[in-house]
Amino acid sequence: MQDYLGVINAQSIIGANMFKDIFAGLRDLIGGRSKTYERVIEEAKEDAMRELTQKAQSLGANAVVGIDLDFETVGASGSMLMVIATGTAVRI
Amino acid sequence: MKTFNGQFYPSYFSPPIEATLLLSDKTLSIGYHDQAGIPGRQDWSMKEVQGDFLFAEQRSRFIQTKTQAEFRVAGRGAFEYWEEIKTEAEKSWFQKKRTGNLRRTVALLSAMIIAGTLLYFFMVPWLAEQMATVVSKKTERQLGDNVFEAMQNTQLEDTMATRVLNEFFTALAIETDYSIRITVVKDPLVNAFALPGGQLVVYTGLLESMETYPELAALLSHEFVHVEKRHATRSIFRAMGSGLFITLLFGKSSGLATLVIDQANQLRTLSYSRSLEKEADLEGYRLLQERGIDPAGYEQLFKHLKDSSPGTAIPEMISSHPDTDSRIQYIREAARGQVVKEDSRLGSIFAQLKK
Repeated sequence: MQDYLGVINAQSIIGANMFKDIFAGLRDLIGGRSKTYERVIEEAKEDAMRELTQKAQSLGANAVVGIDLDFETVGASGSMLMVIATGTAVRI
Repeated sequence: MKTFNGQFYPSYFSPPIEATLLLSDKTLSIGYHDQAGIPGRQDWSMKEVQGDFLFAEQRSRFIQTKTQAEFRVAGRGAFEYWEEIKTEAEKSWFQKKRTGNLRRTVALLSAMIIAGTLLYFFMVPWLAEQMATVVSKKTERQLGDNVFEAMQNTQLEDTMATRVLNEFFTALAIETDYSIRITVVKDPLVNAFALPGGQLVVYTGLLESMETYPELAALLSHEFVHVEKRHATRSIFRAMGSGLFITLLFGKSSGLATLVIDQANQLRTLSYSRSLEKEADLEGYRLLQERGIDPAGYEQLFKHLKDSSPGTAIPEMISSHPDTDSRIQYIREAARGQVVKEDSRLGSIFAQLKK
């Protein structure tokens, strides 16, 4: 480890659309995995991770260690999904 | 999304800098330190980047077409990955990689929508109606009495008119299993309604506008049909049924969806309400016909209702009652050739009211 460049974080908040909500609701009714919501989570996670990497790059880091991913629902009825990625930017 | 380490050439002639590369389906980001050692980052959009593989150097190369800046990564991996995300990004939305079969999903989706619509528009109301018919008269009566008691605290009863109206209804001699109790409320409103189980409420405003006994007979027969045909109970069950169905389907999710559906539901309920009103009109009219009472009572009644709300002609589609003119129309049609005989007893009871 040459340098610690500090703790960085990035977040992405995504709303699944109305139709996805309906499908997820149906899935809730009949049971099973909800691929529609899983894809939304995946998308939010990708966005957060990309932003985190870009922030690390701006600091001149060549790696991010100790990444923590946090998933939360936000919005009035919890219909939006928030992913927060936190990590330490370093040079190795 | 993948990251690589490699050499960054800010311009064609500049010496390489050790840098990091982030390849994703949206951008290509490069993190580097300039000659002064200050960290920096460049983002290239997919469109302005050309990639190739330099066989002699065994390195993947990405060129920013505008600035001619280059990034080179040892090995073939970066180039191959870039090709992969590029072809994926260039595909139109319906060709994109999916977890399932698109055709199957669409078929399933339409089947579900059709099934849902059928359920919502036919099955649920039908079930609700079935349930409404099994409800005992006692339960209906309790339901109506609860509503009535809640109202009683705020309203003043006209005991004299109440007595006369009950007497009038008994004189009509309509056979029913319900015990019909009429209450007259002191209120200038031109209105009357039926509660489940046999409570009829009439406002003095409506009584005052009446001039002949067939009008009162028309009003009471109309409200009586609401009770006899369990209209209120059926409406309550239908509303509960569709409410339950919507909650099951949409849960407490998305306020917007429920808003849209509420509005659609409102219109549907109104159309149902209109059909019930028409049934009450026609069935009530039939009761008058059997007793030889003048059907003009209905026409007069509708006219009073119309006069009481001048200038508030709302389109039939968003109204709970049919348009007054069309009500007059269908009663007239039904009443064609009707033989009318004068009933002195009903007349004398009605006269008490007008004293």
